[in-house]
Amino acid sequence: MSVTIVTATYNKPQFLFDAGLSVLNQSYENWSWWIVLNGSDHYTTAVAKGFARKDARVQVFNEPTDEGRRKKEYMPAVIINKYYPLVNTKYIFWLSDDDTLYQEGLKALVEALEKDPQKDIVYGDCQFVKLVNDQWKKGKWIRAKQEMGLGTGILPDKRIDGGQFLQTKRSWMIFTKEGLTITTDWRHANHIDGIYMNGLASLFTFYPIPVPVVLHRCTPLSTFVQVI
Amino acid sequence: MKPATTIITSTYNKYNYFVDAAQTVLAQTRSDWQWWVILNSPVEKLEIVVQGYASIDPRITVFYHPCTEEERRKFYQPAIIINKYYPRVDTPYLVWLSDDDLWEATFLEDLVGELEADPSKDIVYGSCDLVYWPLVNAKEWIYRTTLKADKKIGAGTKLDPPLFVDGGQVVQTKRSYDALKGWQLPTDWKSGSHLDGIYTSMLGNQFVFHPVNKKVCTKRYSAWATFGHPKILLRVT
Repeated sequence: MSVTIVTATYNKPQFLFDAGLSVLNQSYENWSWWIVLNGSDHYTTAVAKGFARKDARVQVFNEPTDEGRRKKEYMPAVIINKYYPLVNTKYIFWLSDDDTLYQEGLKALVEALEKDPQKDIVYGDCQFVKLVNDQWKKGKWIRAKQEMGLGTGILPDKRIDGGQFLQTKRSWMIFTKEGLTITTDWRHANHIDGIYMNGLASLFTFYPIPVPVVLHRCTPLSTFVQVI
Repeated sequence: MKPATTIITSTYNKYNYFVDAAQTVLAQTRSDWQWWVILNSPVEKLEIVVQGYASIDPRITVFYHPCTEEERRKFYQPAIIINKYYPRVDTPYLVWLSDDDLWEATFLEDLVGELEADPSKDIVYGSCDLVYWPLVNAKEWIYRTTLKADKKIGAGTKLDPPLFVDGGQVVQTKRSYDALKGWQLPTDWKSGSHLDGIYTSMLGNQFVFHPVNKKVCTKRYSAWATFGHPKILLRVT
């Protein structure tokens, strides 16, 4: 395998379905997908394990989490810090459990890195969609709005999201060797992608490719709901 | 633990309903069951979630019952599935769980317990609430009525079982099924709408349905037909 896709998920099974189907439908096939459950319910666990039964490239992990831990730590950050070091492929991709990959997305990103071994990070365009009214409660997705063309030639910290770039495992190792880590503090939860990318950008260049790679679904059902 | 009861569910295209049904099975106060889930040419998400539940709980076994659209148009698939899988049951008791029904946590405890307490009984049934979904954009299920289990029926009675019993609220002994001696449910669509009635009538000719006057399940009537008759156009997407 060349790419490890890592997804942390917590109780959004309807969304995880679509994320998973988009992974299985990738035109690029040399990937493994790690789904990291963290205290998820039966339904979410069933969806994750169902994918693992359907495709041997899918592995399910469980990061034991209780409400106490969830109050203290931002679990996606915990999961990145714990699971990225275990990745044994050349490339790493973070897929949020409510996002979906375009069929050619992974292929475009991998080819961009393969073509130029000097590059360690590439990112593509993404689309945003929103839900209207209370449709999300019923798991019914409605495309209310979309924006295209984000990504290229713009300042990265304002324009890209953690879920749209592919990085080398090497870049993660250098990142941590420099003493950089991803904070698990809840105060930084809403801009954790930015913090991580700023850290990476102090060491590497983010190279754009003008290809849509991911569909970001903005939902009021936050994956990692903070309990206040 | 050797299972006492085989639960059989045929499911086709309602994964989100199936999930609710599955939660109620996993929450049963009695744990000596096995659940056969028969995938009837399922859509992708349904297959994933069913296989996922089977992965979580080894008491769940998944069977594939593929059929073409042509076969689906011609034959009522649940009837075919009952004819095929009921004879294979290897436990003393069996029950049909529709993929959009919900069991009370004590469903098996109440009904199987009743059969175990009195070995002369072969069929018991409990009361059941019917709810419906009024509009596509409705907020919640609406209570419609209750099928009460308050009188004995069958075994020569002239009462019409379909008025009182639905297939999903009955637990029977495997012995009672075997007593039908190879009788097969009709698989044509005309019989599909009242298949439960045909089956319970057939059983009622030989056995008494003993009531357990307690709510044991909830049946959800939705616009989303499990077995997708091609003439049914109303479909929530």
